[in-house]
Amino acid sequence: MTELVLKGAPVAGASGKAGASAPGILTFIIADVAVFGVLFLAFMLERSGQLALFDSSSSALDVQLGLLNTLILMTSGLFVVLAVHAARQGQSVATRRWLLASFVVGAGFGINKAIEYSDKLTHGITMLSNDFFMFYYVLTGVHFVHFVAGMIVLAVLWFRAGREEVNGPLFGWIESGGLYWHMVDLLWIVIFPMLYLLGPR
Amino acid sequence: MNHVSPRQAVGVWLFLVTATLCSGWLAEHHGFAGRWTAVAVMFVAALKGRAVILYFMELKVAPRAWRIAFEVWMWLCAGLIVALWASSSGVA
Repeated sequence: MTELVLKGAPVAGASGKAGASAPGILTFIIADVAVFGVLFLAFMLERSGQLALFDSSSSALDVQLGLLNTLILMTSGLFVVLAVHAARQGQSVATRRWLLASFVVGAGFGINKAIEYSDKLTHGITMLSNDFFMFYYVLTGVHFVHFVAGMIVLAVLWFRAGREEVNGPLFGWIESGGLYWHMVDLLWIVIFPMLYLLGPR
Repeated sequence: MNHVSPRQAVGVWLFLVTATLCSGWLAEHHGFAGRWTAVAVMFVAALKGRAVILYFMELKVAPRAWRIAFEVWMWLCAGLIVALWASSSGVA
């Protein structure tokens, strides 16, 4: 992911031929995760004032599903790393194969989230139930929107990789799409323990 | 610059999986680390985030400013969460 170009000159990366879009996506990502950081801060401040409620609500969440989702995003992230590596080598078939693997594994996150949300809603737990679940639905919901966008990006990259040289101009898009997908993983790495694991179980 | 090789990436993935399972186990067995469980869990989360930033996002070979920005974000998030957790539930 490091064919980064700043001030017009390649500063990292062996080829420096494609990837001028990477600093742009990194700027977007750091701004996006900073906004999430503010949400994390708001959650923790609210938790301080309603400790018992937040801890009891947190203990109602399914840690196993959360763990599984973490493993899914990490595995999908690994496949994206391998897709970027293959694209850098100009291997179209391998690039598409890893992008598809990343998409298929990543879809598991969506299925798990659907199961988790429907379970909560079936038990009458909505974002109006209490402040913890308001944060739960907002944080995981906004993260889910990012996840869906990432899945669309993976699908588009897979489609384009079948029609264009993967180590040509498309490489910058593959690299940027990969960085975006890792952001989805990175955010979940914080959201999962903060929502599911902080309180006594 | 050396990009992350597939072998390195798989190694990082193994670390991420192991760390995730360990922190999940710690959280489910609260008696093991007691009140320090939350600190341990968030510390492991920060290490995992750092691994994703440096190796999956390959910022270890990117311009230093990007690496610093993301690492600061990661440790700031984990630090704030632990600090506010400690000030409310307390470690003592």
